[in-house]
Amino acid sequence: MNGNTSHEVASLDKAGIREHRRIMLKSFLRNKLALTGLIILMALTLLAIFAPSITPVDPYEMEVANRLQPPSREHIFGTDAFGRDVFTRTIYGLRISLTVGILTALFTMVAGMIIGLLAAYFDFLDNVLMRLTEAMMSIPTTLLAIALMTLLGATTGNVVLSMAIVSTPGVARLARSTALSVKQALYIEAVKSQGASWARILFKHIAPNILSPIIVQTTFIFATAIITEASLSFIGVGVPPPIPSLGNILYEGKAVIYDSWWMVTFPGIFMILSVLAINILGDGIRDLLDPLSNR
Amino acid sequence: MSENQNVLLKIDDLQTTFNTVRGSITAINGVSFKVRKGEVLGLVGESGCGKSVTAQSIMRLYDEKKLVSYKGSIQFDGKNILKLTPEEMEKLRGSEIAMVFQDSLSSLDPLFTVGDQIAETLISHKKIDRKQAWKRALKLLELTGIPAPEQRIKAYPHELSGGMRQRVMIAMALSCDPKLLIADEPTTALDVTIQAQIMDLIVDLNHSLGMSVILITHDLGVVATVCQRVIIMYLGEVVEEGLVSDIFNNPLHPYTKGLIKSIPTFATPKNEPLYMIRGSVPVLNEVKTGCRFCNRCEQARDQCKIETPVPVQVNGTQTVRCWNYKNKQILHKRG
Repeated sequence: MNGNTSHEVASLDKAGIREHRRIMLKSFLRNKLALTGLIILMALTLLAIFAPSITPVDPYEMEVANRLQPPSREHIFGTDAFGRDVFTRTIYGLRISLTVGILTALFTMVAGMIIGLLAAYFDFLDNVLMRLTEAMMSIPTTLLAIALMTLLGATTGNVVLSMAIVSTPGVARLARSTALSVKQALYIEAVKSQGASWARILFKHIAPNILSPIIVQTTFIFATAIITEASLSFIGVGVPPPIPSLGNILYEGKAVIYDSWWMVTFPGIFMILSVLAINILGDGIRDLLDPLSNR
Repeated sequence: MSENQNVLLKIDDLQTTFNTVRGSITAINGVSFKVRKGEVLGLVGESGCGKSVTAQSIMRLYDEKKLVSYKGSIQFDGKNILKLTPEEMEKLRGSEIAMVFQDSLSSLDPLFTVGDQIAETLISHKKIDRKQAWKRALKLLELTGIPAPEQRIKAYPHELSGGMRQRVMIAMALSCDPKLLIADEPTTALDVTIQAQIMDLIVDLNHSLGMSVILITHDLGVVATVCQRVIIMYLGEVVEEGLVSDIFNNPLHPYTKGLIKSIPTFATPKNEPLYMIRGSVPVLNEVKTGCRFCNRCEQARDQCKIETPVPVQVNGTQTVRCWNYKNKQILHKRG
């Protein structure tokens, strides 16, 4: 009998979760703008993932005879100064840029949450950690990223690392402030009265309760990271050439901008599209997670 | 000493001091009392008199690094709680002393099902696996008389009514068979019928499981029906202690008399305003020497303003902290 009831409970519970998900999905789908963002982002992601199958051309293959060709049937985005196909390089560049963006966002989220949670829970860490983050925030982010890149050396991994270091303080402070208010909640005291250790209180009960604003912030960091990566590559301290990234292609197009408009226009459009899509998607997620915003 | 064997919790001259930016405030000043095994002890007083602070001090829930400092001793089952390390305290909380809070919605983590939350305590204290913990959680919910426990166990706190949530809180508190249950105004946020059900539940569990209960309340009606002994607190001090029959039939402290006189009855004339103790609880940092109640007391004498009264053992069961408790001038019979 017991097994029977627990089976019933399980099915009932699954139905409840399905219902809840259906409502969430429905209200998300009603938000046309966020939906557009999601569709664009998904299309771009698919393009980036399946880049090798979409274009058979090697992004590093040079045809010097065909340099700086305007868009044609053969090269729909034209070719660059080395005769490389700009369309191929753009979608491969998108691949790098999106990867760098996602990794930066994830790294920032994890590091920021750990720092913020510890600062919120332990008074003796609070001062140290918060003064450190303030010190870091007082330096303009791009400058700090450039300094870090020069220090670490220009590799794709270091781009992620330096951008994550630059954006962690903001998330840490957000996590701290949200955690401070959750920490005062009666249910945290109740959990403590049940004999919970600090680690369990902090990571099992406070962390999930501060996740919503952090997720929203993370999507914006994702978008910012794509732009910052492009800026770093554009001034030559980002992803090292000849690896194509959106910033690298723009940098190479700068020299020939008056003759070959296609070299900056198409990667530029892709960058704007991806950043815009992520931003409006982030807005949509915020509206979805925040019960006070009108649906 | 069979008397001592019967005692589960013995608080001796407890002093809880809060260190705030504007100086330190002693919220609990020399509180002493005992909780016997299996008894229901009522802790009564108006808001701000230190009932909850006493409870939280027993659990040591305050931030001890900065906020609070304790003096005196709290003997629980042979150990001094105030001397335990934080790790030992974690083991004690939830397993030997459990607490039920006033507001059941904000006392449950909104992100986890009630089953998860009950199981969590079990897993951490009893070292059993998740499946067994859930089975036990279901048993506990059944014990608290929650309707359809198989479904409620998978519910989130916001999906339950106030009464059901309070039952969940009680199930959680009972999960590791505590020796002492501290119920901090468990029925304040509930309506009267549910209040009665929850009180009945606590009394039933007290009988069937044999655990001691400290019931914090400001409802003397509840005390009269549920408790065996009562402690009346005023401004961080115990002013009177005794059996329920002592307190209701022969209240000695003017504050206790005032509290009992304030309860409206059918005999109370309809057109007259209800009795009330004049004034309100003074702010703690304005406390001077002498009796803490003297500025509101109807029978205060000059002595009360100068000398601090000491607790007097009146008979075998009743203690009072008043200079002139023998004064029968104030009406203590109701109606």
